[in-house]
Amino acid sequence: MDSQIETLSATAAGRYRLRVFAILDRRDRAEGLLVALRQLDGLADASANPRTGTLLLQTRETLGLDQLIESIRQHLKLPDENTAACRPRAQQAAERRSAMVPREALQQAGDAAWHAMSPDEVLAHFNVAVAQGLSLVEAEARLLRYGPNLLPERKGRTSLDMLREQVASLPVGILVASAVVSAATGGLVDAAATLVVVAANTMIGYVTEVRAERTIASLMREGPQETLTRRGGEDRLLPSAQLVPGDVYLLQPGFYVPTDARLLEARNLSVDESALTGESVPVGKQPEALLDPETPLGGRANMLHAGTLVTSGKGVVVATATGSASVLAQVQRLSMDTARPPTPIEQDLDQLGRKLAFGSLAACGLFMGIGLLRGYPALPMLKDALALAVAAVPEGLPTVATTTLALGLKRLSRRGVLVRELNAVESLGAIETFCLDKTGTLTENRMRIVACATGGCVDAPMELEGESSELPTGPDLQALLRVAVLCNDAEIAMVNGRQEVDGSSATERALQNFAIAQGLDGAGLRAATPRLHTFERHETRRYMATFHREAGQDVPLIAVKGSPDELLQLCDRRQVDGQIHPLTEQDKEAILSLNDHLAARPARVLGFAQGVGAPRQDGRLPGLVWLGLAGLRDPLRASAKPLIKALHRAGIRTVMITGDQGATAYGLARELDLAEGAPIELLDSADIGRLPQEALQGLARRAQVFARVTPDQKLAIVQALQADGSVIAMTGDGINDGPALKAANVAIAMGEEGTNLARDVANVVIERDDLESLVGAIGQGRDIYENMHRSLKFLISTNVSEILVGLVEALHGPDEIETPMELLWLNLVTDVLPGLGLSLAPPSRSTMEGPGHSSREGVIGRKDLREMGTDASLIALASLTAHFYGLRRHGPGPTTRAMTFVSLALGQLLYALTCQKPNRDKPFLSALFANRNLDMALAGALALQVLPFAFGRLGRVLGLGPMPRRDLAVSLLAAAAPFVITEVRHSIADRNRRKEEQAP
Amino acid sequence: MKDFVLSSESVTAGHPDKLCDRISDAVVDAFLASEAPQPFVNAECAIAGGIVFLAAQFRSEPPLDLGNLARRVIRSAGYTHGSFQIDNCTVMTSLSQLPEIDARWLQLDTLPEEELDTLGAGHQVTVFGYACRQTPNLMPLPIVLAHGLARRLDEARDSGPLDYLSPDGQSQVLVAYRDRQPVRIDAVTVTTGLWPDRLPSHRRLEENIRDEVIAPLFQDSALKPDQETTILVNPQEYQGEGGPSSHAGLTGRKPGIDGYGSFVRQSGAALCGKGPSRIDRTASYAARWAAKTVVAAGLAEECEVQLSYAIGRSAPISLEADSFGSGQIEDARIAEALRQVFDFRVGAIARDLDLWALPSRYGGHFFERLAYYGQFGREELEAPWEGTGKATALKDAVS
Repeated sequence: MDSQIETLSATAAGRYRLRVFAILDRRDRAEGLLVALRQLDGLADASANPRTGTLLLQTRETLGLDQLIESIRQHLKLPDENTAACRPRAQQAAERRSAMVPREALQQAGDAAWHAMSPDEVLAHFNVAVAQGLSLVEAEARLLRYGPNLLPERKGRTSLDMLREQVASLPVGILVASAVVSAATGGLVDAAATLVVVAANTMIGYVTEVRAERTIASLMREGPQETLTRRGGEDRLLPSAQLVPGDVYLLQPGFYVPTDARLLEARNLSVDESALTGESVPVGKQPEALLDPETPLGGRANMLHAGTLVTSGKGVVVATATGSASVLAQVQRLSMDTARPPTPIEQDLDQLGRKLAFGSLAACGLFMGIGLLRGYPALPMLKDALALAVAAVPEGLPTVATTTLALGLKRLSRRGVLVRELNAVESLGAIETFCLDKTGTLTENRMRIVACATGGCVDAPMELEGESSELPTGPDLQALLRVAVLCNDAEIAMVNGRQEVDGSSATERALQNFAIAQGLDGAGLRAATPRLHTFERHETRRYMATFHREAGQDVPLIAVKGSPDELLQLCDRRQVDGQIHPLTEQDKEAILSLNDHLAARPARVLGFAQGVGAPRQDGRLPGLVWLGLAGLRDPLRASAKPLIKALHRAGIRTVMITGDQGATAYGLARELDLAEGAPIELLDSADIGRLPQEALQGLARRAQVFARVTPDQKLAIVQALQADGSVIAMTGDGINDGPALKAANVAIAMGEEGTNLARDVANVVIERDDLESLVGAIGQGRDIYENMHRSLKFLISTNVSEILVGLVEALHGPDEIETPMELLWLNLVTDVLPGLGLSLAPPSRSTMEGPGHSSREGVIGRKDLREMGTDASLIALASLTAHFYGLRRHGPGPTTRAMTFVSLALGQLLYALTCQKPNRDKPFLSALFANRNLDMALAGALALQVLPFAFGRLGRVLGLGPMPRRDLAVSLLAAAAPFVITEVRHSIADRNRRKEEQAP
Repeated sequence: MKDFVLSSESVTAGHPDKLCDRISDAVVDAFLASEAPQPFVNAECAIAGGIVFLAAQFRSEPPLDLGNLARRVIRSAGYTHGSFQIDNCTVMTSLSQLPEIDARWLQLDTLPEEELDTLGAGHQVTVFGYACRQTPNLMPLPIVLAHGLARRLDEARDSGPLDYLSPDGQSQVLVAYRDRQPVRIDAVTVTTGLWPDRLPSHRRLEENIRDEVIAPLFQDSALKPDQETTILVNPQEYQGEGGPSSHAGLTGRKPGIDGYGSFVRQSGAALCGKGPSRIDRTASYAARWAAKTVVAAGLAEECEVQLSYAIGRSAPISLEADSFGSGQIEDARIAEALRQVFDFRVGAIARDLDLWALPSRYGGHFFERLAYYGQFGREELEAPWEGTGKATALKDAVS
């Protein structure tokens, strides 16, 4: 018995379900294991569920269960329990070799060992010397073995996939089935007509989706990157795709790390790992640290990961994993493993289709049963039953739904909103909770100075309103700015006579821009005061100091910037109005509280100081002169607040997700009024994944702000929010958002900054980086839903009325029932046009006031069903009255059928007007004819109803005959009756409702 | 009732209920120690299922990250290893703004006397303060002993040899009284959580606790355990780790421990997490201050002072003193003297005890430290209500 790996099930087809206790609640391990297992020859598919600790593996014949378990054991470093006892070691080793792809492949995959090894051990493992790099021959060989350093292309959906998705829906299935039955019973015309509907429907959906994919593809962009790589003792620029494990290469600021790599040498290296961890503050990296193998990704100070950005410093690394073995590729794969739940409309149409199918079957069964009992001949019975089935299936349903959605898609794309999946249009309108990524969605992801306090100022800082607002200049500000420019790694270049700032961190760029905006000639100052030496900022020294040669001075100038509290300890004087004053303890305290005040605003605060002296070996600085503070902020987008307001007005709950600390997140939430005046509920957790599911679900329902969140936790948040069936939208712009985006019902990738992955995973892409189109998109979604609701209501009600009429006629006597072709005409010609007309209603202005429809109610709710039942019965009753009147005068036959047809067809057309009228506060007539498209559709449909009577041949195909004027009058009366009754009923109900509302 | 056995209990600084009290008061400290002291703050905390819930209402901006504040408190209590992972524990904060407040509250020092009459109580409350000669700090003996055990338990873990103790512990002392005087230690119970990876044998635990915790406490005590005294260490051989991962905590659930160990009547209002503008907190300090001054002035061997406040009124609607028959003068005269010497108006209490300034005077941590080992008798904290400076004035008032 194995206590670590348990076989839950194994099939002859090579499908295994295993429980691996080591991955229980350890998503990181599970991922690593999957990555490793996927390298195995003979493994077709693998997935893992860390919550249950189960592993699902599909193998090809070559791979046995024992080998699998052995591989898992090997990867997780589990002690060998049963195999070791009963088999010789050599045999085990041989088996291990045969079961595995090159060991290095596994090693370079998720294996967490590199950060626990010293640089020398890593170099030895890759058989490379740091001074030489790989030899050209060896590099060539490894490139062949490991393949190029490229991320696995996400499998785009092929055209065939999309076509299949369109065809494989239940309503389509029913239609095809009924066509087959028609064809089998000789109704070739019926069959052909039905198939045409299916084909048209499929083509519309397919074409729109292909077009959307094409637009998306055209927006993608990717440039080749080059890396300074050491090969054969020479540093040369190579395309990053050619890097192999063991390559030694150099890092510099502004450089995207091309592979996972172990750091060998570093000078004040810091890296922006937000692409992987969501943490936007760059993290320092040191090669010396030897870490616990269990250290999570974000804490591996001696490792670099593909896709991260070097923000400052320099370093030399050795590549440990390239291409699909990198962590970045694992994150991508995690995204692909998470399936998106079906959108509300998919669920609703599915359910409706099934209900109608059952209804039609039941009606046919009832009818056949009664007919056979009465001893009617079987063949006419089957024909009649088929007629009922055709009446029961709402042919227009998929067509109208698809067309409405496709039309919405087009409208949206005109506004710069690309929808990658038709159904997402409708999900947009059903959004209940909106998860907003702070960086990039709500903020501009651009640092800016918001306040500045010079050396003389200890109480109120000078505020900066805009980017280029000028502060009152003076010697104190000049001194501060000078330090900000000199003690700064951002580059200044002259572009078209203007100073452009580039490189380094957002903070340093912001400082540089600030100085330039205040009129300082940054480039000139730097040229006149060249930098001699630098003390870089690091973890134990939270400031940066630069030494400069000043014209006419023997002793260098020291420019220092950094953490205010640490800097204050180094200062003994301060500059006030150009004069040097002593810095008292009281001054320091006042400055520190000013610092706290700025930090809570929230802003990042930097202090500035200067001095004179040569750099000393021990890194100590002489007593400095305090010059002041500056507060920096990643500004909120101007449109963020209106967005939140618009979302709240539309009844959508907003949730902000950020990697920031609680205080910063709280400040932003206050500023955005996320809680709408209520207490701000903030969930501050660095490890949400560890919370019990129920607790997280409960908390997620309340919290408006999630602080200190890392990417895999975003997924947990989305899933927790979805637990009660809510429709969740989520914005994201980074690779780290992938899994959560994929799980969200509506995944929105924002604008130009989005990475390829986010754009691929998202189902809604906002092309312009502008939040207003977001609100517009939701409004569109709601309009589309409302329109679809109208037309579905119409289509189903009219279908039910047809079923009722057919059923009563069939039960009443033989030969009474309408012909199948007549019913198909009613469904296709009479119903589809008004249905389409209803679905094209113009957008309503009140769409974004109050909550949208609930996805739990379904597109057709209980109340709708009751209403539709009444409406359909009324129409059926009126038509049957005409039918029985005709029956008495003419007996069963074309004339009676014509009477029923006219009353039914016109009754249905009038019913379309009832369905159109959404806003009952409008005057009767203008509400009735608010939709020009419907009016035209009705006119067209009305004209079409004349055709069977104008052209005798068509009338004969439908089974209709001419009808005397008196009968026509009866039919018209029967058509108008339901409309009048319904409208009277509605107006009475409205009056009662209004009375109730007025009553206290 | 003159002969009885009384049991008082205390808990260590890391007990979940106390953690909540401490976090709540750390929030109060933070607001008071900030640049613009803000006494209008309420903070309530609960810890359950490894999640910290912190609800706070305040007037200004929070001066620091309240989530990190909660983590700091829990870390300082010693939860650095074990199953409650403090560094990535989840903190759910619910923060709301109080409406605008009367600015005069912030200028109590400079406010004219008569203006204090118009600053009314925001809550109704009846509180009791007490002092007696059972211990040098004029507190009842059982609670002082129980606190002493809890404190030694913490010390033995933090700096002492008992590194297997988890920060969650409880002590209980039963003292027999004759004629309202303690005569015997009836029982001593210590229950403590143990780190599972350092689990000592039960015998060793028992020995260690007796030697390192119980024995030193009674070394200087006049009353010592005798042959008959029951001493229990982790009864039922409890071996759990305790702490927030095994049981929940809530602010304000330990009023007896905060007060006099159930020796006298106690108010229904909890103390922790309330800004010192709230009369249901400050009146308790005033009552202790008054009672202690009575005993220090030699007017009685023991004294219970009762104060009652009604909403909107600045002065107490009732002030009673009860010396349990030990008074040198009538109880009514004691009360009368107190009324003369002390100003029990809501604003005056805050001003005279200088409550606004306490946290900044003690490096930003005053109420948080007051939140464990009892709110009264804390002479080592120099709590203003432990001062007996008014004893002479009180003596003069009755003569």
